[in-house]
Amino acid sequence: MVEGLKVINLKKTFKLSAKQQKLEKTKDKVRKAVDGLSFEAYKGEIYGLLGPNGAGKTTTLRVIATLIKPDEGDVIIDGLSVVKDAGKVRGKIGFLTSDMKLEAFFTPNYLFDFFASLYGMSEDKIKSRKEELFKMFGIDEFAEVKISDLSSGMKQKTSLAMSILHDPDLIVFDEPTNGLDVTTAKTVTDFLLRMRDEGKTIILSSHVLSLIEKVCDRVGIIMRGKMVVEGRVDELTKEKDLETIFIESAREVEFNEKRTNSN
Amino acid sequence: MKNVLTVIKKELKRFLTDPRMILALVMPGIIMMVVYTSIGAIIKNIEKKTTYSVITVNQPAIVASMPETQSIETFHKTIPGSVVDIGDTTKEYVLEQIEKGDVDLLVVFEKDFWDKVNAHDADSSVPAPKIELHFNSAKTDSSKVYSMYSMFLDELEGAMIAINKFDIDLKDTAKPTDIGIMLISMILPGMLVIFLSAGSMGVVTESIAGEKERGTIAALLVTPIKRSELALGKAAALSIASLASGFSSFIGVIVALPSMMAGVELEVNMYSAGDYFGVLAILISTVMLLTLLMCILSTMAKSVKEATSFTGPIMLVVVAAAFPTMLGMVSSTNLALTLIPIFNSVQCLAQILSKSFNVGYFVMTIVMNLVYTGLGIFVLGKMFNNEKIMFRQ
Ligand SMILES: Nc1ncnc2c1ncn2[C@@H]1O[C@H](COP(=O)(O)OP(=O)(O)OP(=O)(O)O)[C@@H](O)[C@H]1O
Ligand SMILES: [Mg+2]
Repeated sequence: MVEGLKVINLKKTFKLSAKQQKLEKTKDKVRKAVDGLSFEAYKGEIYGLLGPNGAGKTTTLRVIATLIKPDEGDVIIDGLSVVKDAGKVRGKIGFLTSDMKLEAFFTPNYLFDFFASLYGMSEDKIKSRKEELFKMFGIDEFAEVKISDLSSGMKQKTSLAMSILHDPDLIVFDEPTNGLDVTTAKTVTDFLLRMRDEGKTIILSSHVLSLIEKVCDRVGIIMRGKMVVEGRVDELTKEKDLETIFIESAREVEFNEKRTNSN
Repeated sequence: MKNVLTVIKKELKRFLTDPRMILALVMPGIIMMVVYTSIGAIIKNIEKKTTYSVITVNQPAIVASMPETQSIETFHKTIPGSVVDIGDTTKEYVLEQIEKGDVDLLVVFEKDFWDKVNAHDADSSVPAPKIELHFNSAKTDSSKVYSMYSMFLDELEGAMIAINKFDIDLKDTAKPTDIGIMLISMILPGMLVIFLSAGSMGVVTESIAGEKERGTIAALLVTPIKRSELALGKAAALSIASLASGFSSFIGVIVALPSMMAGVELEVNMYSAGDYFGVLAILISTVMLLTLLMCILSTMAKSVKEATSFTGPIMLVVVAAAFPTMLGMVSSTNLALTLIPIFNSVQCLAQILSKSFNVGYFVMTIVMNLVYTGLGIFVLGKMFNNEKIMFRQ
């Protein structure tokens, strides 16, 4: 059994609506959002996905989280396939994106109980886990305040706690620090490092190079749905910094594309 | 099943904690009450606005032989305003006032009117005693009170001929509540179903499309709960909320009903417990069907705004389905018609409320509603599973 995460030759296309075609000035009927992507993320490490807008990061993470199905390929999580065992996989993943929100009308306390019971946790288990996580994130102070009345930092802490309430083996974060202020972003990075130390597998996407450099063990740069550079962050950044690597690969992809188009 | 209950509980709690939702729940009722009470008040106002000023000359004395209900005195009492007798005086001054509009009607009886009436022989050449009516046809009030008065005199004249020859004993065969039953069976079924859909529309678009728009649904979709359980839980909770909202409108109408149907006698015991139960059963099954329909359309939408425009046409369909009953077109003979959703419910409600309950139609309607609802839940579950619908760009 593979521990951690294995993405195998993942492909995903979307049909483009007429509106999208017009907006993006293309005549293509379909968009190859992910185009034969393969990589592995190991237990106890943080894997970062880097790439320009529209590279296919969110799509990849959604496939991993079983929200969408791949056209081809598979993702294996602790030996389970996201295609065949989607239900079981859901119990093992903690998924969080910046545009995934908590319902504004409830308190952290209520939402915790609600989600925990959907994960089939027993009442005792819910209680002890809540105590543990609320203490860890300092949620006790505002546990009975409605989400709508919380500051964005408090909301983020609550979201983080919710995403791992079922103690998942794999944590999937899409742009975890997007739109957060410095203090709140630090809560997130602290959290990520802590989870790594607990031996979780973590995969995240981000546009923030400094975040990747600081927390990620390995990074994959994807462009147009394909992996263009992959490696250990410390090794890759020995000679050039991430920014240079990113821009050079972007140029290369663009150059190759022009060449195939003119042929 | 436990998950379904968890979702239902959460959704219901949500309605009770969100002021907007509570507003969406009770607002239709309040609006209905205000609108219908004021309509009733306006109608009443139009009816009673004017008072008339009538002057009589030589008003005849009460005659014992006349039934009291037909007497001139009793009639005068029913005229809003004042009726004043000025005895046997000149009428020129009064005529001037009629022209000006200060007085609406002048009624001049011949002196000793009843004596002359009794003495009168239709075969003789002596002219019958006269009553003169002076009015001003250019003035509405004057014309109105004139026609009221002349109608009364016509009746009186008819009665006079008949008097002592045979008893006039008019009896209305209709029970006073019958007209109430007829009006209710025409108005209420359509209204109820329209309220239910309006209530359901607000609640469902806000809950389903709202969750998509605000990005809270993804948090649910990554949990191990089955999509069909989620669909069932949502649909059940939203049905309850829709019913509550429809019920609030219903209360609004009931409160306003007496002022709307002023003069029509209504009683709670016009209907039996069985009738009320039948109505409730139809309403509950209808609300489930409507809610599912709204759920499906709202799930296709990306935003509340879009969902509102998707579900809007349902209102038209509902109004169209309710239309025949509003014209009193109710038929229980063709059971095939129970296959048409919503129409069947409105018809069945009208049948119950008009006291022409038909067991076959009732059972078929409930069964069809449940079948369509079950189908709806199945479709909704499939939609929740469909990434193209849930993550449309
Ligand atoms: N549901 C969808 N329907 C149609 N096209 C889609 C859909 N989801 C993604 N796409 C398209 O697929 C491509 C990849 O999108 P994706 O969101 O995965 O990119 P990303 O790397 O996350 O970009 P960003 O950095 O902007 O978040 C884009 O061109 C996008 O327009
Ligand atoms: Mg993205």
